[in-house]
Amino acid sequence: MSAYWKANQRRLAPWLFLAPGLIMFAVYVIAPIFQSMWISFYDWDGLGEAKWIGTANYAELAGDPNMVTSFKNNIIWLALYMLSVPAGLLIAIFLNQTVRGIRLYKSLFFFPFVISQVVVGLIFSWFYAPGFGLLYKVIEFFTGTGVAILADPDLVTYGIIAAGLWPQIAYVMILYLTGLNNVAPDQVEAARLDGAKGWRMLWYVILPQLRPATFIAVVVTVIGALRSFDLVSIMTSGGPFGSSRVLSYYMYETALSEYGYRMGYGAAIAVVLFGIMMVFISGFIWKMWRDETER
Amino acid sequence: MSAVSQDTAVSTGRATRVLIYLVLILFALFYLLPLYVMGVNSVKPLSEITGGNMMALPSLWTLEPWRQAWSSAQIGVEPTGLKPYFLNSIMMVVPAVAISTVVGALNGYVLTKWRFRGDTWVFRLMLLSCFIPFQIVLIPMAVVLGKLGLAGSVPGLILVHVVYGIGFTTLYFRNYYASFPTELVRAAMIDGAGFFRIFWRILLPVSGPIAVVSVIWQFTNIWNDFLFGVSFGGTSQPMTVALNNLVQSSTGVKEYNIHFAGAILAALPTLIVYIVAGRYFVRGLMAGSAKG
Repeated sequence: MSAYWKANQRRLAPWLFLAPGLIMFAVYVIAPIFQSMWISFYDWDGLGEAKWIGTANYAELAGDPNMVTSFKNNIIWLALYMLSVPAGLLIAIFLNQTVRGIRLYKSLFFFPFVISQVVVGLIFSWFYAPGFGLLYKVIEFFTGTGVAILADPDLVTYGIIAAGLWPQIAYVMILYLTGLNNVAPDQVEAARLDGAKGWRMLWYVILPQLRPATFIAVVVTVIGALRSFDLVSIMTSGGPFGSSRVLSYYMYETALSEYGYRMGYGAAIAVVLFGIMMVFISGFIWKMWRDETER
Repeated sequence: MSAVSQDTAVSTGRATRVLIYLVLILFALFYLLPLYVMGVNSVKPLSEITGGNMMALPSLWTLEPWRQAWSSAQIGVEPTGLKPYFLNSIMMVVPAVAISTVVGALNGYVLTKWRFRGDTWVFRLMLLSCFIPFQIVLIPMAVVLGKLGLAGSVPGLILVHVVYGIGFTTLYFRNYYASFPTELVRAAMIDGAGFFRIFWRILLPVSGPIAVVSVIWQFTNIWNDFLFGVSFGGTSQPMTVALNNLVQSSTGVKEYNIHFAGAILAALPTLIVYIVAGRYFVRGLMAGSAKG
């Protein structure tokens, strides 16, 4: 045994030491994905006997109006969340100045990024609160009647997304600020000598060098938009009348909340969400892989 | 970080400088306003919030909302305050952060310095756990935790957070170790140093900055988590879920001042960690993402 170990140590050691991580990973990350797919073909309340019903859950999903609402909201989330990328870039470029106290100032922006989404959601709920909320009062002041954003089926999703954008823009901005620190000063100087200024400098010199930061910013924004669960859950619980549901919340609601008992149906929703995410993820991982082999 | 940014910054005249300050102040107000609102309203009697202006300083200062939020407010059905849940969060966060950081460091070390066939595939699969929507694992995870007898317990939450944290910590350590000269590791191997000796004597001493990043990142993520807490928390719910229950509990009047105090209590630990060690976070974010 020990002779074999001595001879093959270098070949075996990596696997041995990777084993704890790998086993955990296989058991708790990879296997559950396939289990969820499997469960989605069953009718199961989580306790009793599971009954195989084939693709019936998916057939039901296709005609479920709640599913349509959730899906539509997810697309709105995704589209509006992407605004945080240009917004974060603009703020980062603006903050990349040499005025006094800028360092302390930059650190201010971390504040929404480090606190819990639960707290962010609450802050915005208070901000929108009918009667005494700040935004409610402002709208009331200008138009005469206040708008209870979180109680309005047409506005509620936008209200929640605004709350999500607040930390998300800060996050993207931080990524760009660190990216701006890595911009090669000699290239900027050379471009300046060639007469590049303002937008041209930004577009042709700075932005190409920020490509890694842009990539990460897009990745975290897409994932953030599709994972949006906390804010919906805290601010509205999917209401009013289920109009602010998103896939991640709808899944939780059907399978795991106090009203939820339909494991199979919930799993089917999760599989759909996973499928959407996989389209993006495989794109991201493919790009990372390509970049790495190029180097 | 400022030393470098000065070279790439745009040079400006006096008029634009004044304008810049104005815009900066506006931004700052926008980002600090919520903090002010939370702070100011947490030390007011309730009547001043519902009746009066949210923005005004309290006319009667009181710490009563804080005391109640901490020890006597109604959380769900129990009038326990947030204290037990705060302790739950601490007991969950500390081991989860420690374990996931150690495993991440080992993984990063193996993946960069002990290259083997398929190592990039292993890494790519691990990245998956940073990206997947957790809904896809919720139901099977609930079943597994039930079978392990860990359902609704702090150890169960620790397990879940460790599993889904390893992807991130591995990413950090791998990118950090990738820039460490492999020749040094080779030289040590030739000198007969074993796996752990190399890790312990050569890589660990230089791992300080990235370890701090990993710890801060994991701490904020795990402390702030809501989905796993609400799905698997059971009777040992973390702070975030308790705060939600505090605010949503429908019995009687909504005591906003207590809610504000509770929100600050929930946000405080991550804010403190950030204020104390935030400098490392920025430094490490660059190190971690330079190759990402």
